[in-house]
Amino acid sequence: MMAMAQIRYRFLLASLSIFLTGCDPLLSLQGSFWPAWIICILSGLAASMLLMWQLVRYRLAPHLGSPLLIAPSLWALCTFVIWLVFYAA
Amino acid sequence: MENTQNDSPGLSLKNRILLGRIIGIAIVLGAVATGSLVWHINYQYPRTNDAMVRANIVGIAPEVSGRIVELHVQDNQYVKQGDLLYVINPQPYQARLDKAKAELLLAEKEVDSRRASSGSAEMAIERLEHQRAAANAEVKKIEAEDEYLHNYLERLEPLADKQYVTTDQLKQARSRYAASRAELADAKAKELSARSAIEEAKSDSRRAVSLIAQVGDVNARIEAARAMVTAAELDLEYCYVRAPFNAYVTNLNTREGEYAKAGAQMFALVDDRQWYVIADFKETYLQSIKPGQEAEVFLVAYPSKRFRGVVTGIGWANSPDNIKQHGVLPEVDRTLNWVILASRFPVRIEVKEHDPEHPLRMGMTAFVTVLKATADAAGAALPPS
Repeated sequence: MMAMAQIRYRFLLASLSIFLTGCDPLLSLQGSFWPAWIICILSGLAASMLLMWQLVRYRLAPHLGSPLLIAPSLWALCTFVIWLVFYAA
Repeated sequence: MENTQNDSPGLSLKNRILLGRIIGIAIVLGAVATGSLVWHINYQYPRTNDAMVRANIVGIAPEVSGRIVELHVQDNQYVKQGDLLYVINPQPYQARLDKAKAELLLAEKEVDSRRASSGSAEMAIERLEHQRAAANAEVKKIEAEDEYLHNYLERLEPLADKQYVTTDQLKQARSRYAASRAELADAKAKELSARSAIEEAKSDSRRAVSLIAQVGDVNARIEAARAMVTAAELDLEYCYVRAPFNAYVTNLNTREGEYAKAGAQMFALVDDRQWYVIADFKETYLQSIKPGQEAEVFLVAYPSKRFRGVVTGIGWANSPDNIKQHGVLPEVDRTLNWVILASRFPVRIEVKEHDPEHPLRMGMTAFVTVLKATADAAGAALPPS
């Protein structure tokens, strides 16, 4: 139990450190620096999938409009919102 | 089954359709609006990750050649302005200085000697002038006598025809007149000789004066010798190489005993007084960047830190890609470039913060955002860290 608590504590610390550097304009991964727009696109894709799943879950998805328009728009909206919230300042 | 459980009891099909349409329109409009906002912010606050930290680098080369006898610094050491970096063997240069000082003394003595010679020549001229005056007086005296004898002879000759005077008296008068003529010629020759002696003495005097090399209050010989002393003193001073400003020693890979050649760089100093970030911005952003604007500098080495910078200038020239010339004719490639990439221009941003906890190093990767405010108006626009 103690070991599990320690692991959870370390995981929490690691998560916090990610949040601390989360707004840096460059993400460093083992010496390679990734621009913010790649992070925004990937996290926007994940967020749009999550939102779309919720819309499907509440049976709103069929009434949104053409999926060819709605899906990319939702992805773009999530991408832009993430950029504006975390990187625009 | 899961969908049935999540259905809102009061949400009818009609309401779902309405809500769905509203959400769909909101998604599309929101994407357009946020996209426009992102576009606008990107142009209002240009940013780039093509940026690196740099400082002014000064290669340290000795002004004189010689063996290094003392090396007071190590690689990567911080030095302050005036700190002794290394010493080149000063003995040869000390000897040259001593020799130059001795030559200066010699020149001074030589000039004194020549001045004395010139004085003697002046005295000789004076003496010869007196001799010439005496000779001139002698000529005049003899001319007077000669004139008297000539008149006397002219008076005797008619009297001799009438035999009022004897032939002997006439011969005597003629003989005295001829002797007087000879004395006059001799006196004139002496006077001419005195004149030429004076000219020669004057010429000697002028030569002696020119050998002194005095021009106004300045004596060229002594000044030349003094210049040699100054040059030797400078050379001796150059043996002691000092830091010209606060800096970091870099690329120092030598020790005492190395022979240093004048002008050959031994290591470099990284100027610690001013640090820059050179950010390569696309040409499309340049109209939003002006010298004096504030900039925020992020270094990947210090993720939690933001440095304050000021745009100091934008590069005026880049090497154009489409101009190549190997021979006498331009080399033009056949291309079908439909998509052309924007050129980038280096924007120099001076970093205004010096934090010993976060030292800057040339070559660090940076991310730069140019802010709209100018440095004067913004003041402390950014937090200190």
